[in-house]
Amino acid sequence: MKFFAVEGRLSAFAFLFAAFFAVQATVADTLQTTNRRITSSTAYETTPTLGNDGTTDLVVFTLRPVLAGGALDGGDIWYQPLVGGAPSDLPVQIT
Amino acid sequence: MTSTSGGIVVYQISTGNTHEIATATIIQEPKIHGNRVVWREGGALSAMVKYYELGWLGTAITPRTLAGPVPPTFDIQIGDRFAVWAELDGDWDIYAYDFSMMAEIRVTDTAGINERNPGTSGAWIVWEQDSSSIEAMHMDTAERISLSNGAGNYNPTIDGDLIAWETDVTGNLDVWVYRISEGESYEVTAISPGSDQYLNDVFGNMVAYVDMSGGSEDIYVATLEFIPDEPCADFGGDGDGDGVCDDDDNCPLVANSDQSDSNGDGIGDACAGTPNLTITLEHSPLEPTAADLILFTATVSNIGDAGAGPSRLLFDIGGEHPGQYFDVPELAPGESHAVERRMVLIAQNYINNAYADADAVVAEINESDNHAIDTFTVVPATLLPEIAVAPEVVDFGQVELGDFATAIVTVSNLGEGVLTLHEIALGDDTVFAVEPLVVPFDIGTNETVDLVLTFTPMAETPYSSELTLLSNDGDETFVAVSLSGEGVVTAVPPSEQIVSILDFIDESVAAGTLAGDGAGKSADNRLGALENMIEAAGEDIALGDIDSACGQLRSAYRRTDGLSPPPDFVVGPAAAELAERIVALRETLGCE
Repeated sequence: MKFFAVEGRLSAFAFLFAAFFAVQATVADTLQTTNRRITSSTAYETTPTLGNDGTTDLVVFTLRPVLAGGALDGGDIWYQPLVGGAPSDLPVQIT
Repeated sequence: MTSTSGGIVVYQISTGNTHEIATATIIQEPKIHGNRVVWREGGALSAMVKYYELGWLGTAITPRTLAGPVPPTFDIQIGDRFAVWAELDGDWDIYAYDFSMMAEIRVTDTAGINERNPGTSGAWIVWEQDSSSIEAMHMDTAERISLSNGAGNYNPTIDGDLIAWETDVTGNLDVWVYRISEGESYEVTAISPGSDQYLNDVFGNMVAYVDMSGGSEDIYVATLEFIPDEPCADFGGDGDGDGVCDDDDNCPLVANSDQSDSNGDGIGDACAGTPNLTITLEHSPLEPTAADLILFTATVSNIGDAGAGPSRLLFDIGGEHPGQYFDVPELAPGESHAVERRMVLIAQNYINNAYADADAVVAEINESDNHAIDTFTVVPATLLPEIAVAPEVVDFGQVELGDFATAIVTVSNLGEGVLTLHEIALGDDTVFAVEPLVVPFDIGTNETVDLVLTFTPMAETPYSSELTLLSNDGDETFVAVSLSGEGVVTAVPPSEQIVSILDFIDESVAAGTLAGDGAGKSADNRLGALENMIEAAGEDIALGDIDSACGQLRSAYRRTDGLSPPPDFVVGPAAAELAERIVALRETLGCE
């Protein structure tokens, strides 16, 4: 799938031109991704935010346990230290 | 984060401490970047965007209001230069506060089009437009990016050169990234077809997102590596690195990115003056017989008017296939490079071929003169030699360093003609040697000659090499004998070292090179004490008490090492060697 990147807002004509331009573009770099699952509990972990605390990369997220009836409990904030995008230590609960 | 009492609490990771920096009835969407915290405060119809500069040392700073009271305001984000948010001012538009200018900016002003979910990094602000396209603007240059694909596109985040967002172009939500510098989009979550990935956040070369395929929402992090493609991979490469692929380059060996060609002859100006490689073939003797070792020479010459880069020569003799390749160095105009091969050929008509620049890496003015052919006939010999070599493998085995071993290789002529040895060669390793034989050396029919080989190892290691015989035996021109051997050091048993040390003391004393050190009788007593230590060590070794032996030898060494304290028991020119022998024995025993 190709995305069309142009300057300015696209008119119908511009959209077609963008498609043509994209095909003629020079060969792009290849993206190699490594996707790692950071959490795997039955709780709901959501709203990830990446950052660095000056020492290590980390991802901050909200963890909401599932209650007995299936509803979600209130959320707590956790963070997971990362090295190279992989967990490097145990996650830390901060609330 | 927001506190349960309606405030903003900052958690300091390095200390684990929390700081409440603001309190209000309604506080939402706190975001942090560096030392700045931004949030929305107040009710939906009269919200304010506020921020706080963290001091970390507990100094209270009253939160500042960046905007407000303002219409319904959501989607607050902060970067290193801007705080950004979306305001419902008739329709949704993007606003920003520029910390460098300390001023609020309206980023979008489009009637009837909704812009939401902004993000920011550096001078870039990115947002989602009508849930269909991702828009970005550089606030200094007004450069604009619009990403669309006919499907839904949502929730852009940005960091540095990367914009990440979610799109349902494949029927479910996937995370994609766009490289601003390259102008290309890439799918990040292609590994999870059929499930949604959403709520992305990009940072450096990582993208975090949520995936629910495991039964509940889980956090994933993708690391991104952009591997440069070789743009000329399918177009002959780019030998001169000028960015023009060789297939299209009008001067492929000289960098000329401008491709200037003043006279329009298809050859770039940078190649004005072009090398021209030619080749000649010779053989000697001119009328060889089947008993002759024939020397074949192929000469590559540059008769052009510009230097030729390194090339390769393909040289085949007698129609051998595929022949042998030889590297040819750079050749200045007028320079030549000769390659020689020697071979014995039995009676037959032959065709030799040689191709200059066999790999065609030199851009020449004339490629048609790169091939030379040499046809000739070998005069048949009525009586042919037949070489036999035995053994064909010689293993000298283990040889003590400082010693050498010998072996004999017998060369026999089992044929009816005279066998001539033209060359007897060894590999580069000088530990093997062959007794000199003056070549050419003739061996009559049914006669033999013995070649005496020696192996003199120089180090404690295995060696291997090859003895090569070049003769006029047409079907075995080259015969190789494999050579191997190993240099070793055989350790003297400790008990023998004890005896050797005691003998050394006796011999040195007798020779006057060693004596006890001390006044009067104490000199002899000290010498005797030293001998007693060594004898005691010998007894300990015999009993298997190595620790005790090591202790005795350590004491003996300290009495011979020339250092004080303790004072040495012996003196004389042989004292140093005595100390070395004691050290060697301790090493044999493995003493610490």
